[in-house]
Amino acid sequence: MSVLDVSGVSIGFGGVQALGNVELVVDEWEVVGLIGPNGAGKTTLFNCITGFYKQDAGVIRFKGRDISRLAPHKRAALGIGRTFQQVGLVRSMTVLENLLLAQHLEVNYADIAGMIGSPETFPVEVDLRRRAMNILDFMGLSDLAHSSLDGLPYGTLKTIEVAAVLATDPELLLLDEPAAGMGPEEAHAFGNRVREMRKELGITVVMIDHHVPLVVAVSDYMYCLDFGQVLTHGEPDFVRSHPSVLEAYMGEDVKNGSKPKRRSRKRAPARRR
Amino acid sequence: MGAATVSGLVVGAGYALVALGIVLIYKATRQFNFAQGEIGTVATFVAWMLLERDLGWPISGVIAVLTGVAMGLAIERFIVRPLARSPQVTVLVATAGVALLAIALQIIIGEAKLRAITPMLSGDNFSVFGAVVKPQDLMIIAGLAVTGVVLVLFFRSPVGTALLATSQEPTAARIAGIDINQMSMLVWGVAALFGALAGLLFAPIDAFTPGFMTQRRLIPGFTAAVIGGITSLPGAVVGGFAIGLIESYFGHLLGETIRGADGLGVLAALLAVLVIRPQGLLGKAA
Amino acid sequence: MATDLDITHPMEAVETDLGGPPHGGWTARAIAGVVFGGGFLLLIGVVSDLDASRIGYAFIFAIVGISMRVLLGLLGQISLGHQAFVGIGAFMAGFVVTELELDFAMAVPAAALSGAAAALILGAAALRIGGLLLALVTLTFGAVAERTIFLLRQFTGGGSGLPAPRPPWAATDTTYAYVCLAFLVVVLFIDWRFVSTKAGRAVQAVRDSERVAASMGISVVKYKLLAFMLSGFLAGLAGGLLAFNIGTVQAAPFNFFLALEFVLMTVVGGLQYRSGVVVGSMFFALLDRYFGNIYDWFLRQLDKVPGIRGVADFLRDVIADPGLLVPAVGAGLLILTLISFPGGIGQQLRPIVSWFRGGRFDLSLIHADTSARGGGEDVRP
Repeated sequence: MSVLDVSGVSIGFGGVQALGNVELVVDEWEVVGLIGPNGAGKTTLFNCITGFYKQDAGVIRFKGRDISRLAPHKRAALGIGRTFQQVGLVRSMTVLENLLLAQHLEVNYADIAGMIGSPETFPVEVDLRRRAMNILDFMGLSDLAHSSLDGLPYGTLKTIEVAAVLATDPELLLLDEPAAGMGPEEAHAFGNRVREMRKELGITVVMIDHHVPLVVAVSDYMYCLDFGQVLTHGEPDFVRSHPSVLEAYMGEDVKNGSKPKRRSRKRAPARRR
Repeated sequence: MGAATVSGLVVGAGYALVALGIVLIYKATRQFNFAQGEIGTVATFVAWMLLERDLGWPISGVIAVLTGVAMGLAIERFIVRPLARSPQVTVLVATAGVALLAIALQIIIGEAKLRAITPMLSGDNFSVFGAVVKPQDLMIIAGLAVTGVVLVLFFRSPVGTALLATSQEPTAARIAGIDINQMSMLVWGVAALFGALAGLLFAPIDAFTPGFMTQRRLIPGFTAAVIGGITSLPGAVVGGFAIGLIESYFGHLLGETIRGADGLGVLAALLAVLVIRPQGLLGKAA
Repeated sequence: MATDLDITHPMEAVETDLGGPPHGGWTARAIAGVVFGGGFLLLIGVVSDLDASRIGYAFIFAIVGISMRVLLGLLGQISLGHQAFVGIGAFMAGFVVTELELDFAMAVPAAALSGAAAALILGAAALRIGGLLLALVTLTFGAVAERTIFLLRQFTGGGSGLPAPRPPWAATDTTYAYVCLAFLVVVLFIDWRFVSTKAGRAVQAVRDSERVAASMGISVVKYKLLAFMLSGFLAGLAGGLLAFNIGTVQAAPFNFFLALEFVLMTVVGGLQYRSGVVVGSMFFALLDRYFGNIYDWFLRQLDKVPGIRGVADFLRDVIADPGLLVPAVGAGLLILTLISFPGGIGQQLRPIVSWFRGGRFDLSLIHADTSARGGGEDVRP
């Protein structure tokens, strides 16, 4: 049984068909890469999976169960975690507070008990803190625990966001451009962390990103989207060199076999003494 | 029932006038101007002071309106512009603060008493379907018609279009060479003009006390704007009449048993619209 | 000078030092706390009855301030009709004691619960709309409360208002002021626990971004309603206490101006800062009650200065009712806060509060970093 089964999903907005009959399957512990040019519908697909959009047609199944009608927070409770293109954190809280917030589903005291200061809430809060610090350690972020999110670099924020999502204890993790704003080395390190996540935490991952080499290196399987349709899918190497994928990214010429012109290398100017 | 309908329509015309001022500012700046009512009251005070000195309506009216416009421009320059990038609630609270300040100052300087102000048109009242209609009411309806037409034409003009552009995409408008500050001043000035006019038109037939425009017209005016569709000028007119009628009918039918039934009707209408059709009767869906 | 000011979002996250507190350690702080707190308690005991009842009034306002903070500061929704909840609480308390002939111990919880119920209704409306439109709905609701609910026969006590006599054990103004203080302390405790536990965090997350909150498993609907109910509960509680503070409940004071005053004192108090909101609310409550005295004293001082004696007389002539300077002053402070001092009183208190919590006494904290937090979705209809 697959962890995620998207079948026949279509959705349109005001005349634009954002997704057309998308089929996507993710098996347990797979890392699935999702690529495609801007506007292809990748984030829209994520939004349908997490329930922020209601698809016009099609069914989404999580671990065999049809979740098409569930509210977003209920899907999160089932174990679907997700990151956002604009960093999905609460800006007004510190890093640590975000991590505490992310454990919302793990907290077993009632809201009222918390509000009146019932004794059992205090040890639970201590526990939450401890767990939060552990995750921050795992991601190498411990010294930022008490800083506010303001002024932190984008790459760091994305890492914090991943830490927060991990705190929600997901089974399926949807990463929306997690390596955006990262240079090649950072992206490479991040790729390793994704593999670690899969190995240590047993999480299934679907990852959207524009660093195609990163996605190819990390994924077990890939899908490529364009104009809301699945262009092709398969093993990373297959997808990476597939003609329609190349065309989608680089235009008609490539498909027809002609290579883009290379700029001739200029000689470096001689040094002036 | 006939009398209730007529008086509802007459009062509704007044609400429509207030609503137009509110929609104008919202359409152009996405802000709610809570001080819209007080601009009218302040203008009325000025007119009253001048009328007491026997300057007659035409001069008093003009000076009063200019005072109102000045007040609107001052609000724009010193309150709205510094808060330009804040969310809407901040400006709402700030303009509410201005309204409060205005009312407090009116009471401090002028005392909280009822005054009479001579109507612009003298003449006998006449009766339509059993309701009493005064000549001043006709002025209000005329004022509404003129305002409505002016605004519709305005938004079709090049200036008006530039204004709409500014409200929707300020950066793009700036790049296109539109002076944002001038646009802002223009909008607030015009809205203040209408607010002042509304106050002057109402004062002779209403209870002219400090803060009367805010207390008696602003809430129905806002509600009318929301019900009609907050970005729709025709909606403001439709909403205004609708609120006037609803108030009138509720008051007429239930006023004996429930006090403040008219207000209850307004609240019910507001909630109904927000639940069934949040964008308002004539508004565009979000 | 434009500020990216968002009054519904905090200026900065609170940082606590994890090491031992500098500048004297916990002992210094404990001593300071005892001296200040003890002195304050003593003060209540020694002032006159009238002063004590005014101080009690100030404590009640502080509770309203916390109630506003829950809604405006934590959930980020503005209520321009909050006086309705306070009024409903007050009338319910009076009703329970006078018509149902039950005692104080029943009246106060009834008041709080009625406030919560009313707020729940408004909260249901808030689920579909937010920001400006919600402000308008609360405004209309407040107006309806003022003109319809508070005028119901059961509430008018035959025209002269609904009596709310205090219980025998709290009959004096001084004792009642202590009672109000006790309730305030409880309310502050609840507020503290709320913010430090899952419900408070969830509500703040909903304020900043509903989508992010949902993706963390937070039910947006549930926590919006919870915030409204808590806010209404506290407002109703304050109303109940207010009924007994004044002694008779009437509709007149619960008007739109009171609603605006509540917003004002919360914003000027500094919205996010519990201490600021308490101080701001108490300041406005006391200003309200003492303004006449302050004004007279001020004029008398002016009288004594040769040369500007005329000014005092001029003021006496022009300003018919000095009590009305209070809303004028309040409105002025509001505008000043929004434009120049976004953190309000709370921001100015930061050095002290932060010290009490174990941090350094750092004067630079009174300057807020005014860059806005984007956070929530823009509200457009």
